[in-house]
Amino acid sequence: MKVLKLISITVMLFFICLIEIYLNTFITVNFGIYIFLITLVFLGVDLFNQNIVLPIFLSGILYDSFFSTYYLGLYSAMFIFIVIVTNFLVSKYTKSNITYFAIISICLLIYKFPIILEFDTNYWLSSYLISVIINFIVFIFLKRISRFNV
Amino acid sequence: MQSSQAVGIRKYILYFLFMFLSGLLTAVDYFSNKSLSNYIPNQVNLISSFQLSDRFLQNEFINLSSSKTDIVAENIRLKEELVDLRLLYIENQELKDDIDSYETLIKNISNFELTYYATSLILKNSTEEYIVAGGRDNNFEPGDIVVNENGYIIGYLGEVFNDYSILESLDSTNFNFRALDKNNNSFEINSNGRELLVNSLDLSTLTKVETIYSDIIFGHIGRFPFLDLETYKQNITNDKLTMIVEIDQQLSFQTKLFIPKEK
Repeated sequence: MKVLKLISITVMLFFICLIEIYLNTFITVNFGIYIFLITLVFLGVDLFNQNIVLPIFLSGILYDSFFSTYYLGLYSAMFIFIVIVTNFLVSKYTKSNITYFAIISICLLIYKFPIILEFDTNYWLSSYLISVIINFIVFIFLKRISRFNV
Repeated sequence: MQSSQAVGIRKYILYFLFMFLSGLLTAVDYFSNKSLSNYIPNQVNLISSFQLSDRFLQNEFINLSSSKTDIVAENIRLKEELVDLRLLYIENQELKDDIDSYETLIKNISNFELTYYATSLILKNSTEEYIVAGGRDNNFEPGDIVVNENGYIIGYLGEVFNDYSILESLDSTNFNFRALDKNNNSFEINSNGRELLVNSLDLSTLTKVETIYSDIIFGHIGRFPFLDLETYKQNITNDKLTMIVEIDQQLSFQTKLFIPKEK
């Protein structure tokens, strides 16, 4: 049962990752909607436990295998690091919108690390700033919805 | 206080272990020339398995009709026909577009000794690289050049998997290309995402550079135009020519792409 749960969480995470890629493929404006990043932030903020590390690791491996030209393991490490940073910040500071905004900003920097490393700031800065705001709004919106449902 | 801090750190231990494992995988993949990361895509057909059947929409209607009266069923049958007609219309439009793009390509290329495989963009990954249809199933190889319907090079294949490939386009992070002009001056072209940086490798004649081409001396399949440089400012210092060319062409999902291969 536990194995089945882990497999289903992994499949779900990879599916969200696929949706994100499809979504951003068809968005031609200067920002991205990173629903997988938002999911990782959710995991770090509200659902952090030892059982989710393997699904996150496996979804990263699948992403690295199918959609990345970088070496295997890079995105898994990044995904895990994002969850650690999110949980660390949310444990250290109060759960407020400012904290969430800071978390999204930092995590998006980690998430876009390969691009940030290879391109100059002219290339990614404006898109990054818009994406932070858009993804923060999406995150707050989803958090409100989840709160209402609870 | 100390124990709560210890608990705080302890909860990340498993995470750090998996990060370490990821790092190990990266190291192994690096030293094994990416054999690890290529293992899964080489076993699985990812893109083919995502193709929806043409009957998909119709099946929805069929399921609906099971619980309705005959009149509703008739209505649904008509809808099915309409869906069929729409599918045919879409297919017809796509075929027309294909014919148009092939006609445009034929007008713009000079090398008819090659086979031109039509391909299209499927996805864009988070590092701005495009995934295109077709891979080893079409005998594509890393380094194969990709041209548009005007016959101009728009990139080359970075990695090739079973049924899809990763295109290194002009705005890709890893774009690196070598080309010749008509005077056999050779150039190296790199991208910073928004601009192409053109540097001469070997200038035999100091004349204004016009169009640069791919060439078999760089391992390319043939001579295809890459960039028209005559309108750009050309700086020559110490017998080295440098140019900055803004990337104005944007690939879209309607862009028809072709990969020339030996017959």
